[in-house]
Parts: sequence; C-alpha cells; structure tokens
Amino acid sequence: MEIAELENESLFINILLYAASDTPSEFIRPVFVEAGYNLRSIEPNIPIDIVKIDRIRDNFPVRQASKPELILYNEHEAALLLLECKTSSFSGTSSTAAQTRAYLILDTADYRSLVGIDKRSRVTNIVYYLIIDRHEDFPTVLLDISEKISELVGNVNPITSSVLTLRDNSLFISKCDPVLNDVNVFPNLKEELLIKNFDRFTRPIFLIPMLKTSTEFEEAVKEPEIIERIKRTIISEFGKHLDDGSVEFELDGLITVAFPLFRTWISPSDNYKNTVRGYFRRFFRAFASRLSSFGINLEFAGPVIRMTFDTADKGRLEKDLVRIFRLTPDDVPEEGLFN
Amino acid sequence: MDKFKKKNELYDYLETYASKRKSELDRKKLDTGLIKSYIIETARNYEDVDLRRYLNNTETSTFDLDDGLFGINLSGEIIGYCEPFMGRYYVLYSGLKTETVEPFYRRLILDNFSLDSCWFAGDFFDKLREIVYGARYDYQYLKIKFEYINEFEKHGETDENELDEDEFIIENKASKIVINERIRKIREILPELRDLFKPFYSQVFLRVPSAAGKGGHEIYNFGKVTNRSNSFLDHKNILNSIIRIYKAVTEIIEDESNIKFEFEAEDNLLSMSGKPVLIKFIDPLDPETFENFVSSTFVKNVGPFRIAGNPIKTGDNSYVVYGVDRHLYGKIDLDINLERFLIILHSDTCGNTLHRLITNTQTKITPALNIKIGNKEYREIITNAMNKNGNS
Repeated sequence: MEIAELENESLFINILLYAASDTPSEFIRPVFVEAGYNLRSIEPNIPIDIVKIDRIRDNFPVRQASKPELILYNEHEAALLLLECKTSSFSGTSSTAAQTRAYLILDTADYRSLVGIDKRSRVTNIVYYLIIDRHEDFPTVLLDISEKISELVGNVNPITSSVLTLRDNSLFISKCDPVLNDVNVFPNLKEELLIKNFDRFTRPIFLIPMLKTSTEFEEAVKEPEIIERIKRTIISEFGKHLDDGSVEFELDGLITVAFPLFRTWISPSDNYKNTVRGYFRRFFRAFASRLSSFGINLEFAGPVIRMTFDTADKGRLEKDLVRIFRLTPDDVPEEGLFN
Repeated sequence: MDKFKKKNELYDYLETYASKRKSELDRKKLDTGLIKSYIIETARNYEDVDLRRYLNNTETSTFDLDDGLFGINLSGEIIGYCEPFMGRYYVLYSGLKTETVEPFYRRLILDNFSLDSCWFAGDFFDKLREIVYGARYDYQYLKIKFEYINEFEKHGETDENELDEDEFIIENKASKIVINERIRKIREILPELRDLFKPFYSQVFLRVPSAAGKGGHEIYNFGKVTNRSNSFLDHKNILNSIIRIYKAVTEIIEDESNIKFEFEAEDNLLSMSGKPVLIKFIDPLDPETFENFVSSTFVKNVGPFRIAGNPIKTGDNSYVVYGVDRHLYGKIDLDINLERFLIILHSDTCGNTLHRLITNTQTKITPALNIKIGNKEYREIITNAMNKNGNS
C-alpha cells in the first residue's frame, strides 16, 4: 500500500480502530490497547456548553457540537482520549479550526455519565492524527488556537497532533508535538510500529464503514465495501429465515446491521437517512427479482419490509441465495422506478 | 437397528452390541457395523433448533424415546438414534455400516443451514493427545493419522451445477500417514517429524485406548467417534469429554472474538468490541492454490468451507470478502492473501465456523498454521478450556 491511500478517511479511521482493538499484532499492532486504552465510542455527538460558545464566537468561529471520530478510555488511569483523523493539516483561519475550538472547550461530563465511566476521568488529550508528514508547523497552529481560546474561557482541554510515518517499509505512529510535550500524558506513543511490511499491506476489512452525507452515499454505494455490506446483510438476514417461508425486516434496524453508525446519526441528517433507505428498498427489488422462481412476494409497509417465499425446494433456494452476491450496483433499479 | 421406546433399553442394547462387535473384531470378522457416533452442532441459542424438524419429510421420519432421545427411520429402516448433548449438540448413534450412515449424515448437515459438523483441528488433537498421554500408560498404543491433500493445487474444469459440496475429484499432492505406536515413542518422534514434514501438523484421527475395557475409540476430525471397545458407556464417557471441551472452546471464541456493536445512551452512542482472528501460514501458499481456493469457495460456491461472499480484489493474490457463513447465515469477513487469513466473526456467527475454517485450511490448503484470536493463541484457548472443564 502507498501511504497516500490513507487519504481515504474511512480507511484511515479503520486502521486506528484496529489499533484500538485487540488485533493480532502481526496484522496491525494494537498500540492503543498496549498503552491501556480501549475503544469506548465511535463518532459520538458531544454538545458544547453554550456559555463557553458565547464567550468565543464574537472573536472566532466555533462549532456547536463536537464529534470526534473515536473515544478511547483508559480505565486504570481514568483517562479519556479523543481521536480525530485528518488527511491534511489546516491553518488557524480555516473552517476546520472551528472544530478544534469546540474540542478545546468541550466538557465530557454528560458523556461520562451516559456511558457510566468514572466521574474523575478527564480528557487527557485530543489528538489529531495526520497521514502526511508535511506539517512541521501544525503543532504550533494547534498551540496558537489553544492559547487564544484559553485567554477567552480559561482552562482548555489539552490538544496535540500525531503523524503516521513510513520508514523502512514499516508504518509508524508517532508524536510530533515538541511544543505541546508538557500536556502529553500518552507517553507510550512516542513512535510506535503500527504496520510491518507496508508494501504488502492491502486495503483491509472495514470494521465500520463511514458514510458522511446523502450525496456521498450515492457515490459510496459504488465502493465495494459499501455494496458488499448491503448484499451481505440482506443475504444473511434472509438466510436465517430459510426454513420459515417468510421474513419481516424493520428497515432502519437492517440498515444499522450493515452500517452501525446509521442509528446514531442525528438530525439534520434525515436526507441522508432517506437516501440510504431508498437505496435499500431498491436493492430489495433487485433481490426479489433474482429469486422470483421461488414465488417471492415483496411488500413495503412503511418502515417494515415483508417477504414470503416458497420453501419446497429449500436446497435450491439456498444455492440461489448465495448467488445474489454477484449482483452489482448496475443491477439495482434507478431511483424513482420503485419508490 | 432395533426399535426402542426408552433410553435405558437403547443403552443396554448398545452395551451388548459393543461387546459383541469387539468379540467379532478379535476374530477379525465383523458381522455388522461398529457403533459410530456423529456429533452434530446446532447453535448457541439451541432452543431455536429442533433436529427432528429436518428429519420428518418424505424420506425420513422420527419417533421419540424418553429424555429427549429419538430414533430415525430412513426408508423403513432405523438408521440410528439421536441424543441431545449439553444443549447445542446432538449425537447420532448408528450401528449401520459407514457406507450407509455416513452419506446420510453428510447430506443432513449440508442440506440444513442450522446444522454443522464438529471440526477438530490439529491443535485440538494435540491437546487431546496430551490428555491421553497423562491418562494412559506409556507402553499403551495410540493410533494417529495425519492427512493433507491440497485440493486446490490444480483444478479441473468444474461447474457448480455439476458438483456437490462434498465431491471434489482432483488429482493433487496428498499425504496420508498412519502411525500405530506406543505413547512414549509418539511423544518422542512427533516434534522431529513436524520439523521435517509439515503434514505432521495436520492430525485428522486419533485412537484412544479404552479406559474401562478392551479396544479403543476412534476420533475423526469431522466429529465422528467410532467405538472399537467392548463398552458403550466408555464410549459415551469419551464423547462427553470431547463435547464438553469442544463446547467450552467454541464459546470462548464466541465470547472473545465475535465483533459486537452496542448502542448506549438511548441509541446515541456506538461502541464496538471483539477481536480479529489471524490464521498465519507457516509456509506461504503458492498463488495457484490460493486463487483456486478463492474461485471454488466464493465464485463456484463449492468445497468444504461453507462460506459465501463476493471477493473484492485488493492486490495481487489478495482479497477482502464481506461474507456469510452458510451454517446459521451469520456474518463473517475475511482479508486473505498468500501469507494469512484475517477473519472478523460477527456476533451472529458461531464459533464452530472458526473450527471448520481452521480444520479445512489445514487439511486442504496448507498444513502448518499459527492461529491467534486477538493476541492469544488458539492452542492456549484450547488448553484453558480443557483445564476449566476437566480432562478425563
């Protein structure tokens, strides 16, 4: 793999997800787990205190909610680590800096009580992970943003950056913040081997597919990770009912099986959700069409999808079911034809 | 077989039957088949699976005994009796000849997605042997068999419509080695044999000397145990031990490796737990073997692996599959290349899937494997399960 391929944010986040799980180290080294941190939440929405926002917004733009890609928790140290992946660095005047300001002032008290972790736990670091090493100035940018916000609201969360570096055909995850060293309480991550033989490393299984917006979804279904997960989910859930002759799906529940983040997606992403639902309905049409010789009857009843089918030749039905894996996005009818 | 209405009548019959067959074996003349027990896996939530449901059709029917046992009629003849074991397992006992009962058993598994065989990998046999070493005398004999047949090295022109899952007719590299030796000799030579020749990692059969009587019990890697002893109760004791350990290993795999997504805080927060599984090949595969495996399993949907999916090419001899296990239709992801399989088992996938994948990889793709669940070795999990569940 070339390091530039990590500019695919979904891929980048998934590699960090492996590093935050007990992954066999020959594949991706679980550097976070080795340092005592385990995955706690993926893309959580954490609201920001409006009083603090009010103190900042006359001077700087700031987001009203924060959504770090991953939250890790070290139970022993009662420490929270928030990770944000970026494919490139940014300046203090960019729109992304509004996100940084939100991270600096967020209070995890609500989050802590929601997930039931130690009240004494604190945000030990918010780490921006970068995949390119052309960002010598970035720690200074973060420090500058941090100091300006601190002048307005007092104490802020520690924030730092880390970079992935390719050396001797191995990918290392390394700290790169000489300026912010004093706030770093994640000492096990000075420079750690993450992936050996990176030239032989290929696009891995995505533990979580990341989907951002409705417009991106139409494009994303052409990505193999997305279309294959859709097919697999429907085949898997249908297959579990092969003996029964009928099956009923709650559509959002089914989509959540394929894309777990779908359920946590909050307003204003309704357009996004409807796009995804529409695509699933269209896919069901294609699915039913492939199994038409089994008398399949497909019915959409609001949020529920019902199917009945003939089980007289269950063996042939099962063989035909796995052939549905060969469906391509081109086999799925265009939007508007059926919904 | 005769018809019985009560479990104790069946057990008495099987006890006498075992004794008669042993006498015939001693005379080297069997009048009929030995008792063969086939272990059948259902699911962890076994309450959903009633084996009788799959046996009452145009060809077969069942009749109930007490204590959950039932008999199976096939075309007017009693082919065997089934007994539930520890919830998720059944054992099919049959005294009919192998050529009659085994095709029936294999077809029953393949035709019903709720059922699977039990799969004993080389690491499992290694641990079973260690138990036997401790429980028997050094001078007693063990019979062990190793088998490695590269079914994917060369590939004939086959079509999925012409080929059943269990019918592979290909000429390829094959090693079948039987050793019948005293325990102390086996302990001494096996490490050296493995250094010399990798198929010695792929044990597929073990004959354990009987504890209570004469003869022994033959354990096959697909969950079959044949009674060559003069005691059915001794045979049942062996079955109990094997199933207890196998169940514990399977459930540890399910508890630890299966990837689970959980929602907290009124569904607003997502978390994930579970461990990827790594099957590393000691010797990398040759590309032809690998590509033929991918093509058979995922394109033609044939072969012993029972996993389906559409392989996404991620590089030369490298694929990712977001697939389903055709036993129970749970979700399984594979990231595979010439050096290893990386596997994600989802929470709806049975731990038995991993045993099947390992056992068939070892006997049909490459014999020497190093397997890890997270950063713990598969053999360590088997050892822990054996220690926790007794090892008699």
